Amino acid sequence: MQTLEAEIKELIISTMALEDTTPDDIDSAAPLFNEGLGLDSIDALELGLALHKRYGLTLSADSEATRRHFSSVQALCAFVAANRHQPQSSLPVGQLA
Amino acid sequence: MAERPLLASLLTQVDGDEDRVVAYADSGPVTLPSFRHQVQCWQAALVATPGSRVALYHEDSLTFAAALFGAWHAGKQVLLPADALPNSLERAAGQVDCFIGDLPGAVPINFQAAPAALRRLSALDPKLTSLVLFTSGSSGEPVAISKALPQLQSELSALELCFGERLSETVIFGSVSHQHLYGLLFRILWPLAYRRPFYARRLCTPEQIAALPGTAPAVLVASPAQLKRLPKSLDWQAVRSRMRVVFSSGGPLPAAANDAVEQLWRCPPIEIFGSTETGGIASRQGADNPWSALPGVQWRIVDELLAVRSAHLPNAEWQSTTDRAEAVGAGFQLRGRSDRIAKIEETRVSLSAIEQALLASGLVEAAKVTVLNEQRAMIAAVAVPTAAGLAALSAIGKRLFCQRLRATLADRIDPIALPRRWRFVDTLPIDAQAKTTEAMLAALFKPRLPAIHWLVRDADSAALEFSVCAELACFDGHFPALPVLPGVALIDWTIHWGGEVFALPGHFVRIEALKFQRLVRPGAQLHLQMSWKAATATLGFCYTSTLGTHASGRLWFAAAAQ
Repeated sequence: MQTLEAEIKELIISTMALEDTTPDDIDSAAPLFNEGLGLDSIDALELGLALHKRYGLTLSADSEATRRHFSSVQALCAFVAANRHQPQSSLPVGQLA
Repeated sequence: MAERPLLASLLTQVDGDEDRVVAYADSGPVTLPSFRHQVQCWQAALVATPGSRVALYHEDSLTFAAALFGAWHAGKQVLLPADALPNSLERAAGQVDCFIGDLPGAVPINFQAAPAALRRLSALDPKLTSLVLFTSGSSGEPVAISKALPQLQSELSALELCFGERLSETVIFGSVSHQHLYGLLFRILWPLAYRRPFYARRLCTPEQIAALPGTAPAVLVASPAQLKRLPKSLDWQAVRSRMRVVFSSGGPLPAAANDAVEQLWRCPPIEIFGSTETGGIASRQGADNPWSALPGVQWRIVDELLAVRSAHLPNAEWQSTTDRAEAVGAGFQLRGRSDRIAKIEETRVSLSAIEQALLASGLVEAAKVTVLNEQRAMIAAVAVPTAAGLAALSAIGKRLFCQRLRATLADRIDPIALPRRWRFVDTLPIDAQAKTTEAMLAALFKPRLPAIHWLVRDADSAALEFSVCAELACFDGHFPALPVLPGVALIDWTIHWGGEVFALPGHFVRIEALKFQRLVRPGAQLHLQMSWKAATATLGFCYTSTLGTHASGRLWFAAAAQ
């Protein structure tokens, strides 16, 4: 089985439909939004939705906390590991109807 | 329609309901006298500043409203930058005498001022009270749109006439910014003028909407970007029992999102169509239904383009828009824009401006951009690199080269409009009339590979699964009436994915034991098993689905030198 970190990177790539990007290209410590991967506010909504579907986890209504969880792949991994429920599907999220 | 000057006398009219709640702030309910005191504090500070124009930005809608009325009562014209990004503020700085609100160098306000030291407010002069909003023009340069108080009041009267009854006893929540006309009118001015409390903090995420504060019946002022992305699994019970009306504006709400809102919240959204230039034009309920004009708005279609006339405009003339429209029944349907403006998730984007910015980078000598509508709408660029660009491209690779191009655009292009897909070509594709058509650009972006999910990635074996989407480039012409995946695509994908996980040497030389047992049709869910034998440099593969085996074989590789 691959690590959670690799799984999250793959989730980001498929959710954002990032082109020419492999999991190895993503620096786990680098910021996901703005600089770094260059994700934007719409991506944040998409990623939130993907985390719901894949890990059954709910983000907090506190936007500061969410900003912290989304700050890097590492931060996201820690958040998913601590809060995940059953995986709802093993398919790439982008492919679900 | 008789206009009651509600906004002008909002803070001066004594109406026997002095203690009503104007807004809910984080600290609790804020009554009219307390709001008036805040406005007076803003007024006192701003009367003392030189000049007649101020730029206002603040995240909190209550503070924003107090600052707006304070500035108006101090006789200032108020500019609303669309956001607080350095570029927007730099532009605003050249046009105003000072910044107010949550901005660098903003005028300090003393909220502890004793009421006796503050001036009594007198009604606003409608002719002298105005604000300026910004929207992007087709050249990419933001265009300033001025709105006088009677224009704003006219919009509010039309909205109240159309929807007021449904809003009785509600609290107004919003998930869009009040720095734009839609949010400003729906979240702040309409509630203030018609005495409905509004919630001061913007609800940015679905989780914040699900945790709707308070217990009163609610109205949500939203946009398609949020309504399209509501997680089904959230607990929507509070929203379901309290939501009376959901407004959506900024772009068309897809039918699926319309249905999802209706299903999750038991509240069919009302869509509003309009623009910063024209104000509100029409509304509809139910995606795909024709639009019907808001009260007091006249429309007609001239040369395929929608033209409007209303009291929301600065004069009584017909104003043409750049929206193509077609009359349907008593209303109209929109048929896209006539200029090179695209909407990416409700943000207006000038395609020409992106192309000019790309050329200015010195890395490309010709460029065309287009909009791709996938999971989300995005900008895609086709560009011809210059000699310098080509050198950089081969030195650092496509991914980093694209990153560099994005970085050079970042200071003048909204992040949402930065190209996310890139194709570098020798010459731009042109048709017989020497034009680059949208279809030709779009064809370059059809996906060549499906999005995959790795299940196993070991040294000598790997497995992944994916679904075969109908948009894949390899379905083109194979076959028009009956799309079937060409078998060779499976071999190509195996080499590609195999190369990602195993150290394949040199190049592919031949195939053994190749079998295509079952057709692969769009929508298939496939599983690929790969095994790598380094000793013989052979890669075994097998594509299966619930139907059985589709294809299998062995690929032989050889070192490049041989």
